[in-house]
Amino acid sequence: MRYITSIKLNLLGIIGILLIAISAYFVEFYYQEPPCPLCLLQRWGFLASLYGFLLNIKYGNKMQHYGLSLIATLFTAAVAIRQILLHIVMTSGSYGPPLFGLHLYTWSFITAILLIIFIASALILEPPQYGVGERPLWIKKIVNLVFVIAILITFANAITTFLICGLGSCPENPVRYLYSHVDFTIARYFCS
Amino acid sequence: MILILFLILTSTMIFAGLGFQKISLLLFGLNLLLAIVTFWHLMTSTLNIQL
Repeated sequence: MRYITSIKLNLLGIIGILLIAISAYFVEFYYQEPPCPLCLLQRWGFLASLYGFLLNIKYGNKMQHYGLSLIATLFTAAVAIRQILLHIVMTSGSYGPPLFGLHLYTWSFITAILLIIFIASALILEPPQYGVGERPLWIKKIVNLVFVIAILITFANAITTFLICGLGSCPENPVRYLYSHVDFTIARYFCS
Repeated sequence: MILILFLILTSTMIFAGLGFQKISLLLFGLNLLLAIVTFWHLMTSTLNIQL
């Protein structure tokens, strides 16, 4: 029973992070805005914080797993605050379109702080640590499905990073994909 | 560099999913270290600032 409660809380975290990753793609294609290196690092940070939650649903709830997520989220917050500071002066310009009045890196920072609060709450609310024991088949299937989705989204990020940066260092202000002539109007058609 | 980060993260998740927890933890540690180095490199070299 404890495991069921724990898995629900962890799935909530996983779904939240996956939604962030998907919405990043939405902005990339809908607004035709290839991500900058710092934006890519923030994406990586969010997906890395997914790892602790994945370990929790697969191997049981452990404080160490939450610790891994916490480190990755702190990294994301650090990168986001760095980008905010880059553009904080009015004359320094900005990167990407604002969403609900705030730029994406600001949203990224706010989300990272919310995620830190979520992980801290999970540590307070949940029992410290226990194994998975015997799990029902439907839970095993959900866990496997979540793993497959997480792996696919992470690999999709690897592919789009390759298309933007190639094998070298990423351009500071990318305007198009290096190895692909993706017609962004098609993506916009599907998004609208 | 960022491409390598995503590729290692993908393999980390694959190993965790297949049940190789220790290997995946090692990969995650390596990945985190590489991410910090990449971030440090981006901060100091390309953005023309002093720390």
